[in-house]
Amino acid sequence: MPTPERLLAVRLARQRWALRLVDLAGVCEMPALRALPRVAHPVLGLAHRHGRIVTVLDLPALLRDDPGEGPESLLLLASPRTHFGLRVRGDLRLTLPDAGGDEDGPLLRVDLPALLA
Amino acid sequence: MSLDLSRYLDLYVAESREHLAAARALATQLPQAGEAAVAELYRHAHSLKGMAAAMGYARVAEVAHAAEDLLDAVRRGREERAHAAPELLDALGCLAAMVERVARGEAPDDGAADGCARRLRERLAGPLPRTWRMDFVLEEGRCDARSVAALLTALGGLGVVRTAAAPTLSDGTCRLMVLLDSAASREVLLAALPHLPGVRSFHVRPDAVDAPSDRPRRAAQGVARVPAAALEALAQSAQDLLLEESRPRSAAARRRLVARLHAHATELRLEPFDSVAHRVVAAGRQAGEALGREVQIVIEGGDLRLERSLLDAVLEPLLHVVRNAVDHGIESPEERRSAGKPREGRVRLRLESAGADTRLTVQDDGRGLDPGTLREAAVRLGIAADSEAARMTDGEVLALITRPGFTTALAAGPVSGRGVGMDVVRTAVEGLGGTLELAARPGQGTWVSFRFPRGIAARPALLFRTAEGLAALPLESVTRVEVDGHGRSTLCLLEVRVPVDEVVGRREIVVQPLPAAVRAAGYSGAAVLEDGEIALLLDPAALTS
Repeated sequence: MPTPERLLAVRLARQRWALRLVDLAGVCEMPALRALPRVAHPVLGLAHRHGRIVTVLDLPALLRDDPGEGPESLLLLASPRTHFGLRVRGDLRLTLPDAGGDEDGPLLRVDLPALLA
Repeated sequence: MSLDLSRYLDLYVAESREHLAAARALATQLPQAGEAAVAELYRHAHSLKGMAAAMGYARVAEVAHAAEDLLDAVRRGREERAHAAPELLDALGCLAAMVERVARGEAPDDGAADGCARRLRERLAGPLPRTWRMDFVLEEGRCDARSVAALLTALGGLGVVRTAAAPTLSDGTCRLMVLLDSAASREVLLAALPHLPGVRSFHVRPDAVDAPSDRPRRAAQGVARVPAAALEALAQSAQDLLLEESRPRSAAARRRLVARLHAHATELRLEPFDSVAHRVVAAGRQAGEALGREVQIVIEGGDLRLERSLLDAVLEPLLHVVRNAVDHGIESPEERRSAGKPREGRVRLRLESAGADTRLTVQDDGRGLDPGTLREAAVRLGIAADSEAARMTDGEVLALITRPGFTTALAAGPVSGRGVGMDVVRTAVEGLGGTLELAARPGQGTWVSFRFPRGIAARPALLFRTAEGLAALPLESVTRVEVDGHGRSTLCLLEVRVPVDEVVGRREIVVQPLPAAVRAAGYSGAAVLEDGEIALLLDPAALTS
C-alpha cells in the first residue's frame, strides 16, 4: 500500500493551506532579510541559510490571503537550481490528505511549482 | 567566422568513442533489451550519425544512419531484437573502426563502409548472405584433413565456406577457424552447429567485427571527460587545505584556499560550448537538406565554457530554435535571390558573457516575423479581440509565439513542425532560471536569445555601501574611484557614475545566482560575506541603461 503523501498545513488569516512535504527542503525561523530595492512584492528580499542565498517570497500575498497568528517562519523550497523561501506567519503542522478538517475548516492544496511559475 | 571542423576532431573522436562504448554494451544485451534500452541505442546511433554528418564524414554517417534505421525497425516491432543484434554489432564494429581511423588522422573509410551499410540495408529488406566467423574446437582425434573436410562439407549445407584456416593442434586441442557466407541467422547456426561431425565446441560471430566480450561493460552515461591538469590542480588544492589544518594561519588564508579549491572543483564541471555545438550544426544542416535550403550555421563563442548539466539541458531547446530558423526563417535559394539576399542563408549562434549571465543567441537572416500576421493569428485563435490585437506592441505580439498552441504556420513543417513548440522552449529555459527574448524584422530575420545565470563563481569585486545597503560591482567595470573635498566617494564606470556612502574595498566574493525576476531589477547575483551580511552584485549594464 503506498505511503500517503504528507502535507504541511499552514493556517493563514482566512484559510488553511496545505503544501506537499516533497516540495519543501526545510522549515526554519525567519532570518534577517536583505531588502531588494526596485523588486516588486511578493519578493521580500534575500536571506541566507548555511551560506546558500535564498530569495524570499511572501506566501500570504502569493495566495491572496493575509498573515495568520504566531511567529514568522521560512519555508525553504526544494529546487535543484533556484533557491526560494516562503515567509509565513501562522500555525504550521504536519498532516495527511485525509486527516479531515471539520474543526479547523477545509484544507486547500497549494501547487507550489504552478504558483511560482 | 565559419566553423573550422578540424578544431573539433578530438572532441568528435572522444564523443564518438563514448557513444560507441555505450551502444556496444547495450547491443550485446539487445535480445533481452526493453524499450528504454532500444530507445537509448537509437539515440546513440542518431548522435553518431549527426556528429559524423557535422564533421563531413559521409560514409560514417551513412553506416550510422543504417544502424539507426535498423533500430527504428526494432523499436516499431518490425524486426526481432535477437535477429537485429548481430547486424547492429556488425555496424558498431564498422563505426568503431572508422572512428579509430579518424583518430589516427586517416580517412575514415577504408572501403569497408559500403559493405557495412549495404549489409544493414539488405537486412532490413530481407535476409541476405553475410559472413560469419566460426571458431571451432574439434573432438579429440578429429584434427586430420579428412575430418576437417567432412566438417566443411557439412557446413556447406548452411552456406558457402569462404575460407578456412589450417587447423592448429595445441595441448591436445584442435582448433579450426572458418568463414562462412550464410543467410541463416545466428540462432539457426547455433542450433545447427552442435550436430556437425567432430565439433566439441564453437563460437560464432559476424566477421570483421571487433565483437565485444561477454563481460558486462560500463556504459559511458554519466561519465565526464576531465582534463588531467584540472584534476591535478583539484587534488593539489585539497592537499594544501589539509596541510593548512595543521598550521596556525589566518582565517583569510584558509578562505583563500577554500575559494581556490572551489574554483578548481567548479572547473571540472565546465565544458566548452563546442562540445554540443557540432550537434546543432548537424541538425541545422540536416534540416536544410530536408527542405532544399542552403544554410550556413556559424558558431561564435564556442570556446566559452559552461557547466555540462546546463549544456545538456539547453541543447534540446536550442536544437528546436535552430530547426525553426531553417524551417520557417530561411527562404528557398530562389526566394532569397529575388529578395536580393545571398543564396545561402545564415544561422548564427553566439554564446557570450553578459554581466553575471551567459547569453546564447540564435540569429537568422531569413524572412523574419510579420507582426501583422501574428496579430491576425491571435484574433483567429481567440487570444485577443481585434481591438486588443491592434493595441498590442510589436514586442507583445512577438511574445505570442511562446504561448502554448500558438503558431502562424499553415501546416506543420517537415522539420520543425513536429517537435516541441516555442512554449516548450520558453518553459525549458525558464526552468533553468533563464529568460527568453525575441526580436524580428520582416524580411531581415529573427533573433532568439536565451539568458542564463552563471552558476556559483568567485569573482573580484569592489564592495561599497549606499543607503540601500551593502553592494558590489565587478572590479573590472570600475575604471576609477573619485573622492571629493567632503570625503564623498563616486565610482566611475565607463558610462555612468555611482555616488556611494562608503567604499569598503576590493574583495573576491563568491557570487550566487538569483532568479530572473530579481536579475531584471539590475542585480546580477549576490554573495554572503564572512560576517553573514549579503552583498548585492549590481549589473553594470543595468546601471548604464
